[in-house]
Amino acid sequence: MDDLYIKRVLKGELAAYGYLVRQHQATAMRTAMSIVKNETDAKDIVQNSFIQAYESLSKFRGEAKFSTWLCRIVTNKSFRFIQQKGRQISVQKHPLNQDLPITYNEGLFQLHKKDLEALLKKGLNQLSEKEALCVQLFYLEEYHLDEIEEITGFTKSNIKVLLHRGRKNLYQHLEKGINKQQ
Amino acid sequence: MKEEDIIQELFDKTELSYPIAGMEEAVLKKIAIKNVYKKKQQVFNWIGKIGVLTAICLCFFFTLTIGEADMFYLFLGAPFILLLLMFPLETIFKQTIKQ
Repeated sequence: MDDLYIKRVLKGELAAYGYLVRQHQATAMRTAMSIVKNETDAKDIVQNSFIQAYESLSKFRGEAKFSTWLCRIVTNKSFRFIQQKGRQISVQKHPLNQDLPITYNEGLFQLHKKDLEALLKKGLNQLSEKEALCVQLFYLEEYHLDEIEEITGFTKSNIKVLLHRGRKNLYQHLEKGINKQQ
Repeated sequence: MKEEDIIQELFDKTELSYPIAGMEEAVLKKIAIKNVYKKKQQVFNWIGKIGVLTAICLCFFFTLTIGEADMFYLFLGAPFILLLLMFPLETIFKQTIKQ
């Protein structure tokens, strides 16, 4: 479906690009957030990424998925952004509903969806940028290792290490988050 | 349950959404503005090229018709005089593009 809209955009139909933005904005936003950890900055990066993708659309060969190509642009822009900021990243706080009695593991799965989301966002924010990126791309966006390699430029072995570390760290952060409620 | 399975199941239960309202409109608007800017830039470049070429041709023609050696210096200097005159024109165009 993306290919059809890409062809229409290349013919000059700007409105067709709106479909591509709608389809991939959530993924792009989550990718940017995993690295920059700030919603305002992530939004700017995603907007600029979409604009760059539009300007480079004629160079898109269609060998990979459009989402993979777009995520690569978002990833590159995000890392460049944090490098320019000198790694002064502000971590956003996600308030957790304090009222639910929670036991670990069972409690995790009994959490209200909003609270679980807040807990996961907080956990991801605590991870390093590379760990959070790999965990988000693998578990949330369900990309294969090949695609993650293409998006991030990391080697497969590096990605596996980052996933392993990211999982462990995220698990520990979730455990801390749940234990605070008890 | 394995740690990996727990993490996967947690992510399956949630979408992890962030506020992205207005993203589509903002992106399309910025692209439209950039397209207008590019067209104006192209027009400005073409006017500049034609202007310089015209100046050179006019000076060459002027030198040939008048035929005096001193006019050769006018021929050499005329494009630069025209470029100086084009600077205010360029400023006006850039202000139009910015708007």
